[in-house]
Amino acid sequence: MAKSFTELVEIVYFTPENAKFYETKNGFAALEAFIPPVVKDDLDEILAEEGGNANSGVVTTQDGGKVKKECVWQDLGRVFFHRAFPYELPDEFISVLDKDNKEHGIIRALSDFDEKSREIINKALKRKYYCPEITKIYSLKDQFGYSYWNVETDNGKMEVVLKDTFSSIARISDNFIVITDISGNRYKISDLENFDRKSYRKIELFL
Amino acid sequence: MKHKDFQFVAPEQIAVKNRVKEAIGGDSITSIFEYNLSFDNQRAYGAVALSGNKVFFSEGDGEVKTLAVSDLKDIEAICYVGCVSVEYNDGGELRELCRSDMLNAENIQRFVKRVRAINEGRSFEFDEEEKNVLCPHCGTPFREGSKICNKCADRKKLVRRLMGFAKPYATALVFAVLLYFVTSGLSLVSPMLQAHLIDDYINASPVNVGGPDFSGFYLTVFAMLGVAAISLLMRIIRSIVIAKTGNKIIVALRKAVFDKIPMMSMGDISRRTAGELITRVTSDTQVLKNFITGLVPEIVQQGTLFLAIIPALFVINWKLALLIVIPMPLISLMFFAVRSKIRRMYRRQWHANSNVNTILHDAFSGIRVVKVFGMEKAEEKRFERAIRSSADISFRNERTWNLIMPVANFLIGIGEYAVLIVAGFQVIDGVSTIGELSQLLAYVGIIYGPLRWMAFIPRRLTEAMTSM
Repeated sequence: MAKSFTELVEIVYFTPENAKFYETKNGFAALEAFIPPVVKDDLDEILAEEGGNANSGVVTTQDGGKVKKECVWQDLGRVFFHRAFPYELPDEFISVLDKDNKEHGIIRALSDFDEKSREIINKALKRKYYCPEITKIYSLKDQFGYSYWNVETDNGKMEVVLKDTFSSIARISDNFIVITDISGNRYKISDLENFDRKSYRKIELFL
Repeated sequence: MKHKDFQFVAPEQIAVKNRVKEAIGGDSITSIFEYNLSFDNQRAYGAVALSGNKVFFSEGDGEVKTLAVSDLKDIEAICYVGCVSVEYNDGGELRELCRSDMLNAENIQRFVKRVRAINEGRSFEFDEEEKNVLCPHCGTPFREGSKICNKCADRKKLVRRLMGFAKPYATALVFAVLLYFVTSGLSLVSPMLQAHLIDDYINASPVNVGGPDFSGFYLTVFAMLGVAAISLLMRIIRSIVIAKTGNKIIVALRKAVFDKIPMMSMGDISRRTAGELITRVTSDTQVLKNFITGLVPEIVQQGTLFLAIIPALFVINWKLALLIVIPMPLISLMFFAVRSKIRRMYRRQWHANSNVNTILHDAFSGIRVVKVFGMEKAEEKRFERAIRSSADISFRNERTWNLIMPVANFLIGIGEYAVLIVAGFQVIDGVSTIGELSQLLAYVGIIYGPLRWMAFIPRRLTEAMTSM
């Protein structure tokens, strides 16, 4: 059955009132939420509703009308997070997804939640987004079309190899760059203005 | 395992991998990979191995643990942003086995595929090798689609193999090299004739009442003309021979490369993109042909010229020759120092221009999308930013080039001024003649050509080695 535009774009915002984050025994983030019932297997719901969207929050009545499903507290189990604006707004508009990447809802701002919930969410986000911050560049050598960087990051000293250095550096803003190495690892320099001057001169020509 | 200052594989990583291998003992290892992150994405060193129906793993200094493959239900490699995690179902609860940055991502996924295949009672679809992005000996990245390390490869063997393609045309190449020698020799003769012309005719004291003997004067001038004409003819013949031979060599090279491709295994072919294979057949063979017919003869010529002129300078005037030779190492170093900066500058410009082309391509090929979303103004602004950036970079490069190169060339030529001063005084004192001075200056001018040229050899050799 065709969905209306509102049904398609309906967003559930998670707040402390309708969402309780907790940690599973193995350290993963999980969620109990007060939302319309979520069906794990879409197929069952579709068969029952004759073509409706299981998780739309709306049911079709017998006379063809649409009513919202009743919200209930339910344990959604392990959830995954995804930043909608990873660079501009890292702590806002965070999508909460299930393991099949279906969105349960969105956290408008992390600051809405208490410290414990924030800690759980931040831990999960830190585990998802691995992007060491480069604090210093000890050496940078060009050879055979690759560049070899010896750097200090917030995760210790690292060696980074870039293929085609110019294309491997993405300028997010005037002050923020992200470097992708030959394996696909990412590194960032989030504050070029205050970056170590000696290190900056080593990469200046690539910026 | 080191690459100069780099240590791509930490000793702790090697140690833990060896410990896992020891724990397995003599049994065969189906799959083994390293991982380098802990549960909270801190640096860690660990290894996981699959042997038979058991999985062995260890992290840091911890003991080696084992799990049955059947315990790793619903095992999955989950790709995050910049890292990958292996998770499995442990009695209804998800548990993480290990995680790593992207360096080990492919090996991890291969391991997971194999474990799943065992759990599902399937055989592996095809036997993939553990893939190393970096050379295990020196850490240099392999060129994409290749398993040959640029640094560790036996270059002599590669060059011998390449020269095998030139062997059928050895006569023509030797002839071209001989012509190089002839033209180099002739370039030494002209200054001698000039010196003779100046000293014995133009600047000679009149010995007879009737004036100097002009028949000798005309002979010398015609000799100089003859030398120039022969030199020109030699260069024309050489160019034709090189062009003909080069074309034959490139045909042979391209045929050999193309014939090799269908003979490769499916695994090898699928590891490479169509673009890479095409580049191998077209661009790489061109680079190699230029190496055989261009770079090698030029090295011979420039080297010979350089080695021939130095003794000639010492014979003419050893003091002045020392004055020219001593600053040479410094001048060469200066060129080397400047060379890499200039190369980076122009690579940056290439990228800026490439960015402009990309925007144009996107805008034209996606013009309907642009119009549907009313993005004409946005695309205009994007294009304007790109061309301004390209223009700024171009301007900065030209400015830098025009600051550095004239100064560098001037400094190179400063030897000439030093020679002019010293030799000038010698002429005034009657120790040297004007003809000798002009001959010396001509040789100095000739010698700085090879010097400038040699500064760019390493880059051209590198290109050739990469293509090999």
